[in-house]
Amino acid sequence: MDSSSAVPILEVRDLATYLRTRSGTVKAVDGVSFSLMPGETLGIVGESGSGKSMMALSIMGLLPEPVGEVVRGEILFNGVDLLTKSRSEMQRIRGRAISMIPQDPMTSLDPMFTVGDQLMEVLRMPQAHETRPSDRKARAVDLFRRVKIPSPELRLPSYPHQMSGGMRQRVVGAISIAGAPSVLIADEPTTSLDPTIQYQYLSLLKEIQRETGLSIIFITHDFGILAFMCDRAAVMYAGRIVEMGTVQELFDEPSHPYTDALMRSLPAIDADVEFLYSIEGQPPALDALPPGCRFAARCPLADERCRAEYPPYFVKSFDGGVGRHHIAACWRREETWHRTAAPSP
Amino acid sequence: MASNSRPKPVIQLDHVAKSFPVTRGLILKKQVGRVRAVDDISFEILEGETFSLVGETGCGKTTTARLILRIETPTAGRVLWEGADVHQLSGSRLKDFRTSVQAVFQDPWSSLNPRMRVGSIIMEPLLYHRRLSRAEAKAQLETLMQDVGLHPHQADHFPHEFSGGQRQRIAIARALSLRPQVIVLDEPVSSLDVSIRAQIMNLLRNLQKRFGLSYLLIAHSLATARHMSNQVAVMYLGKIVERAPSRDLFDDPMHPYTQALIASSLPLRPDSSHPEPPVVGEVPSPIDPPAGCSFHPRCPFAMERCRQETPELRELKPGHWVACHLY
Repeated sequence: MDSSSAVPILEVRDLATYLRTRSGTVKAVDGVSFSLMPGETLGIVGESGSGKSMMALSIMGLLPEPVGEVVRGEILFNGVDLLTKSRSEMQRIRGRAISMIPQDPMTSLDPMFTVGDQLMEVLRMPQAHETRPSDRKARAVDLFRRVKIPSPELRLPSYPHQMSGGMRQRVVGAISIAGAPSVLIADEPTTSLDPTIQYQYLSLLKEIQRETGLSIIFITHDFGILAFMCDRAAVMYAGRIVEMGTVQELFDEPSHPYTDALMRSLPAIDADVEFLYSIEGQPPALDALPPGCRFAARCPLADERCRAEYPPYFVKSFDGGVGRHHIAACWRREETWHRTAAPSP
Repeated sequence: MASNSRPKPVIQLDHVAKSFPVTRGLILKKQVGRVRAVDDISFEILEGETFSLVGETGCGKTTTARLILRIETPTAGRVLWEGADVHQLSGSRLKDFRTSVQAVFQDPWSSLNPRMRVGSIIMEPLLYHRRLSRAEAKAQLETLMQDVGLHPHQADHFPHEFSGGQRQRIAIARALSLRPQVIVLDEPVSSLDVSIRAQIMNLLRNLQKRFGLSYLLIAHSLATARHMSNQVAVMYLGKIVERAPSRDLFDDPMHPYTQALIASSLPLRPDSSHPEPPVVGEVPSPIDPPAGCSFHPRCPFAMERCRQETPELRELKPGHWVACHLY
C-alpha cells in the first residue's frame, strides 16, 4: 500500500450531493475528493450531518429519491464514472464491484425471511457463479464459515430475531462479501455492538481484507476504530473534507483545529483529567452555510479572513505519492504548508 | 468532597435480586423459566460521588437502575434510601423520595414530549411536585436553563428545534428542577456526537460539584466511566464481578472479564501495541446461565472449580472487590 505508482481503485472527484427539501436545499456533500487504493482502508470521520453517510449512498447510487441528487463531480471506479451508469448497470455493480455494510443489522435484514434465504438471494443474482440450489447452499455455508458463524449449516434456517446482534451483523457481513466485491463501504457497522463483540467483528473484517485484498471505506465517528482499522482517514465537517492524511499523521499532528479539538475532547481509559476539552456550539445548518470556513464560528483561532473566505487545501509536502498527502483546509497552515490550486491533490 | 470524613451513603443496595418470568404461547401463557436479570448485588452510592455500572447488553445494569428508581420491585433484597426501604415507602416519604431521586435517559429524542414547549417540560415537576404557582415556577425556570447552558429565551421552543446535546441539557434541567440528591444517568452521552459528549460530561461534573449531587452512571464506554466515576462496578449476567475505585479498576483490573473489556476498548493511538483480548464467543443466555462462574465458558483461565462453584465477591485489596477463583 506504499507504492506511489499504484492506481486508485476508486476515485471521487469534487462530489456534491444536495438534498432538496421543502425548507430549502441542504448541501449534504459539497465538493469532496479522495482516492482509495487497492487493499487500503480509508476512514471517513465526522459527526452527524457531516455528510459521510450521504457520500456513501452517492457512491452506491442509493440516494433517497427524489430528494437526494448528485449535482456535480465524478465517482471513478477503475477509471469508469459510476454517475454515467444506468439504473440497471448500477444494479449489477452493487454487491459485485462495490458493496456496503449498513449501520443497523436489525433494519437491514428482512424479519420475514431466514438468514439463509437472504444470503442465497444474493447468490441468485445475474452472473452469479452458483447456478444450482445445492451449489448456492454450499456457498452460503462457506460464507457463514468465513464470517465465523458457529455451526453454519444449522444457522441458515434461522430468522434474524433468533440471532444476537453480533451474529446478525456477521450475516450482513456475509451478504456484503457474497458477490466478491473489490470495494466495501462499511457505514458504522459496529455502533450497535458491545465492546468485546465489536472487537471480534473488526478483527474479522481485517482478516477478510487480508485474504481477499478488499479495499474498505470505513465510516465512523470513533477515533479508536480509526486507529485500529484504517490506513488513512478523511475528517469531514459540514459536507467537506477538512483534513486528510495517514492515521498516524492525523494522530501525531492534527492540522485542522476541528480534528485537533475532537481528539482533545475524548476521555481516555488510561488517564485522569478534571474536565475534558470541549468544542462549544454546534455545526452550521447545511441549508444556511456561512461564506467562509464552516468551522470558524466554533474555532478558537478564527479571524476575519476565516469567516469571509473558505480556505483552500494546504499540503504539508508533495513527496507522498498519489493520495498520500497530508492536507488540511485551514488558513493557519498558510505560512508553513504549500497551497494547492486544485480542490484536492 | 473535600471533607476528610467518609461521605455518607445516599443509596444502598443490599443483596438485591430481580428475576422475570419467561413465558411461551400467546393466549395460554406458560411459564418456562426465569431470567435472573439482577442476581444478588450490593453496593452504595455515596454523597457527592459517582458510582458507575459497566457491562455489555443484558448484564442487568439498566434493571439495576430501574430498581433504584422504583420502576421495578426486587424479588429479593432491599434498596435503601437514607436508611429506609425504597419499596416500602408511602405517603409523604414516598413523595420526598421521588423528588430526591431523578433520572436522565439515553435518548433525548424519545424522553421529551414533542408537543410540549421546553419551558413547560422543565417546569412540570415544579408545578406538580412542589405545587408552585406558574409565576413562581417561571422565576425558577430562568435559573435552571442558565444552569445547564440554555438561553432562557428558548423556553418557548419545542424539543424538535433543538440538537441532541441541547435536548440532553433540557432533560438535565428537568431532573435538576426539584433539587435532587441523586440522579440516575442511563447512558447520558452515548447517543450524542463526539464534540457534544465532552460538553455534557463537563456540565454534569460542574453540576455535581455545585449541588453536591450523587450520580449512578450507566455506561458501556469504559473511558466515559473512568472519566466520570469515583467507584465502578463491572456486571456480567446479572452479577457484579468486580468493584473498585475507578482508578484501581482501570489501572489494575483483576477479573478476567474486566481485563477483556478493557482490552476490547480500542486505544486512542494508531501505533500502540495492543494485546489481543483473550475472550471469545458471546454472552450466554441469562435464561440458562452456565453453572459455577457464569463467565467460565469465555474465560481463558477457567479451571475445574470455575465450572462447579460460583465465586464469591471478596475484598482482595482495600476497596477492591473481585469474584474470581483465580485469587
